[in-house]
Amino acid sequence: MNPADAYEDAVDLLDADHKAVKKLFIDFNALCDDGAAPQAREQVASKICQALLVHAQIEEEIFYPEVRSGTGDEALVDEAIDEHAQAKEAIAQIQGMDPTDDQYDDAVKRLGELIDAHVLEEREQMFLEARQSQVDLKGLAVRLFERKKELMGKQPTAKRASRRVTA
Amino acid sequence: MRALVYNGPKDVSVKNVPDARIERPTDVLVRITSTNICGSDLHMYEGRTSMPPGRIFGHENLGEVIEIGPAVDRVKVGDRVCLPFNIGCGFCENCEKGLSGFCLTVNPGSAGGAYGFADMGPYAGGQAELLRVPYGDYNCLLLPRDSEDKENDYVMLADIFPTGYHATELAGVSPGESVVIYGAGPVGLMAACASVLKGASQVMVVDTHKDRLKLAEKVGAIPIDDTEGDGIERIMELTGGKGADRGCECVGYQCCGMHREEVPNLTMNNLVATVKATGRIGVVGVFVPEDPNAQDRLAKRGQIAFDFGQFWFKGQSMATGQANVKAYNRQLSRLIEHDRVKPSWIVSHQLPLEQAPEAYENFDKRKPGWTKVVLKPGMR
Repeated sequence: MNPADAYEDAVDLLDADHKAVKKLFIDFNALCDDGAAPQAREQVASKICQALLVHAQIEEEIFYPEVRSGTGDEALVDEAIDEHAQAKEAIAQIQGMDPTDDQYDDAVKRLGELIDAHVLEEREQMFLEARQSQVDLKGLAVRLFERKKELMGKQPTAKRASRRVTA
Repeated sequence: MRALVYNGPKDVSVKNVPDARIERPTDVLVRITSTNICGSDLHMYEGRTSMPPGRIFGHENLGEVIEIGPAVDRVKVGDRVCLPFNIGCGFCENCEKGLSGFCLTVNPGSAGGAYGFADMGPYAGGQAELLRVPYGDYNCLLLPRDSEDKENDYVMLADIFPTGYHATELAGVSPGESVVIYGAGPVGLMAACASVLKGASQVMVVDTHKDRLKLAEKVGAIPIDDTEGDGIERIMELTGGKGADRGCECVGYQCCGMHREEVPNLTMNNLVATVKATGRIGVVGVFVPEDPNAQDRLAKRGQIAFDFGQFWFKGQSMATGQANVKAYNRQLSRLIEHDRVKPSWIVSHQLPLEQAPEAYENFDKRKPGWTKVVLKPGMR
């Protein structure tokens, strides 16, 4: 079986990302509570940022345009893109910070809150509307999967490079 | 329509909101005549969930069908129906297996949908005059002819009677066995009632609230008052030092110690201690993946300090999760119809919807005598 076919549809694939990143946010908060070392916190935070950037990109490139044309709900998609823009700003801020910075933990936590709200809206509105529309969610899952793999293959180099700059 | 709206922690009010309506062809619209306040509403009421302000509470609903969507075949206008708190589609993999509490369709991403509940989809609750019921043919339990006289019994089929019964199913209670139930709240009381129905030889119910323990006694359970912290000893004595065959957790993550302080692992570890080696524990009390507003460090991240060594050493097993109401509600309704059970024995108050805010306050404070509130939106 093609590994892309493991996901029943695009919603399953995208929400698996949501769940994975939620787990990382819970882990991050736990590290903060436990007073973990800056490197440990940075490691989780950069994983979060990387996962979110890839997720946002595949949604914007592949999923949102199809939802826009398939459901006709322009406002819903515009709002989601707007929220992505806010999240990207927050991510850029975190990536530009040193984990020893007083504001670092709060910046990551704020990103977590933004993402929680965004995920809730996607689950309650966009995913339901998409599934109730004629959008080819099965076909999209394969495209999303392949693009995600492609982007993840590129990302680590970029991350190592940015690390060196901050270090 | 009038509806009970969540404004923020410990702040609810009855407001005018847009009428619930048919949104999809498979929907049914119900005029609510009875809707209960549930202990799990209190987690949201206290601001201990991700419930956004502006939502309508209420997942224990009963009423009369006033309109049906064009794709509804079975349900008719005028039918009196009780709605399982879980919303299912009826055609996904989990619904097909009878796991309607974990429907994969109605709440994409998260398993399971419900009315007016945090993280369980966009569906409005029924503490209101009207309720939209998705997939009406699947979700409505049509009630027998005596449903008006026994409305306070039948409304318990929406959640707590099946949930209490589910606890005993998860624990595997069979005739002749002994059962220890932590929690004499409405769900624990229903678990006690279900255990008695199943022919358990000893049903021990542990709590610190005397008014609730009295209700447990009324259905033939042995009340164990844990106010002094000697509950474990009592249970071990009653079971000849072995512990109970089966255990039910009917409290959840906001369980409290002797001084009403939250001790999230209290009931789970007490069950490990009071259930016999090889016994099984059924957990229907609500536990959450994260609880950012908790005091406890572990609780914040959805963890408890669990006596896993003892649990393993005793070879115990455990089953967890919300009840799949549709797996039980039809059979349990027949027990009501044939007067074998009267789940309304726990009802302490029936009030008009307008008095819901006071009811929430009193129920949340565990004011003595406030066991179960049934709201009547039609009552003035």
